[in-house]
Amino acid sequence: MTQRSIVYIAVFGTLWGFVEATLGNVLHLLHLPFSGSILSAIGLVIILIARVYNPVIGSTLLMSLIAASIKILSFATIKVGPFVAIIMEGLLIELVLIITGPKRFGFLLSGVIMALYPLIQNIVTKSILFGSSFVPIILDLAKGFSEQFGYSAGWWILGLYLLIPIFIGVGSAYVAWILNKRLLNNTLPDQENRDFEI
Amino acid sequence: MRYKRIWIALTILTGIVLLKASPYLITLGILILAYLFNHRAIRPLRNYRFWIVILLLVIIVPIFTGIQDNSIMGISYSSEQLSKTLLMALRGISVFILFQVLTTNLDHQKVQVVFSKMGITRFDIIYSLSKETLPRVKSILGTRYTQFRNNWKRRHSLNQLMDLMLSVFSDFIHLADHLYETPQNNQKVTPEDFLKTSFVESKPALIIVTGDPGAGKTPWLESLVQFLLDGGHTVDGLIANKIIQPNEKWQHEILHISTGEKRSINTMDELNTPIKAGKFYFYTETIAWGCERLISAKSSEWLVLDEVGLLEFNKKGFFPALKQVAIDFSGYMVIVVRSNLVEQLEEFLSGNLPPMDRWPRQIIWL
Repeated sequence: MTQRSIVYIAVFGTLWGFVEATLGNVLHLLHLPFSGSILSAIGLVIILIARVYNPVIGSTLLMSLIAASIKILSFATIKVGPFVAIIMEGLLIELVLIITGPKRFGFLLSGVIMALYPLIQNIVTKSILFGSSFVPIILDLAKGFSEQFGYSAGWWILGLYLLIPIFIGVGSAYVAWILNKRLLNNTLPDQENRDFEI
Repeated sequence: MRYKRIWIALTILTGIVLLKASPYLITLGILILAYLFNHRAIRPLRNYRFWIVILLLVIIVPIFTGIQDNSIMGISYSSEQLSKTLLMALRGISVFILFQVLTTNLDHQKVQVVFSKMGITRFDIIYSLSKETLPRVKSILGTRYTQFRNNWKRRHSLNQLMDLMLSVFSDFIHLADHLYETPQNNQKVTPEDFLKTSFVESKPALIIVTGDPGAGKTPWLESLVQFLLDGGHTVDGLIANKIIQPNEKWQHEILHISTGEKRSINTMDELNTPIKAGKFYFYTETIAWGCERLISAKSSEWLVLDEVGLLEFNKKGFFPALKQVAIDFSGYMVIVVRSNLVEQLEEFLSGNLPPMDRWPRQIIWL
């Protein structure tokens, strides 16, 4: 790993961690729905752009370690959930990008994976907490809800709960792709407006 | 503590396995046990999100699923489903508490040690660089956000959001390239190199030496002091040395630089003292002595204070001396602080020592 890679990992890992720590805590306090997906989407944009400028295997995973370390500094004690979530996010995108490279398909696949991961994580966590009958119970609930209110209401609610994060994930991957193209084409807004010292 | 945690976790796990035998009693026992272990372990139960799922299971599921064979306030529900979901809810609470017991009071340093043990050899270097970069990250994001807010007031457009992101990423690419082109920032500096190359020259100035435990902060400081004394500078202040005692205990000894006088400042043995931090009991007379020495040293060109920490942040320890020195000190002050306290130090300076907060400062990561 070169010195340049180390610097890029540190800088973009810090950006990701800082956004997680600040915006993440704000979203948590506001109790917004899908706040986890929104935060993952922002993280994904940072990861993908960093990978284009630093296409080194392992760099995304190392960035996630930095981001997770900064995130846990924002709490008084270690919270394992957000810590593991960030590292898992880094690990999954690392695997996708190793296979596909930082190309358009890789970006979109990362978006889908990033969107599905919180859902899978949620199902696994809830099954550990409440037992293996949690998923059948939720499916029963969707069925019962649909029978009670008609219009397949239960299935629609469940479907939206699954589809909205996927939409956010793929949308963020698309935004990352557009940003990346503009950065590479050097069509940047007000470059001269950097009126502060780096 | 570690074994206590393991034993309590095993007891809770046994309780979870046997939960069906007496669900309410066992759950109550688990809660009491966790509270007695550490009251923080049950604090996350206050998070409303956790209870949403519990309520969904216990209230909604029996109403909409199963055979409706009972009713309450005119609402029919399935008693079979209710008993099933109640058991699931109690299991959920118990497993959640088990995770809390396993993770409460883990600190950040332990996590860093785990990363190092995992063989992620570059982690320490990258993390040090990251900590150094953090103030710049805050500065860039703050400035760009202010610009965005001003533009947004004049005209609302989604393009502005895109422009904000482009500007931020462009700044960060620029920052990474800039740091890469100045590699001396990413390597440990020796006291000699520090004085020759990257030293703040305006006075008064604050030099913060930081690093993880065992990084060599005190030896670095001793080396700096020796180098300065050899160069004919006036140096004074206090250096803390760790003294290992029998029975796996240790204490700290304070060395007054100009006189060479040494005094014990704390002990792990129980002591009748109003000042206690972590495992250590502090000798009030040594702290008073140290404060006096620091105040009398404020005319020195270089003033050194090893191990500024939680004691000072809580306005105890050498805080009174620092407060007095900060008013009219005109030289270079070197303080040593652990890396996990650097952010707190920034807050401490801005809140409690405003004159010192305005001094130019330099951070040395070891």
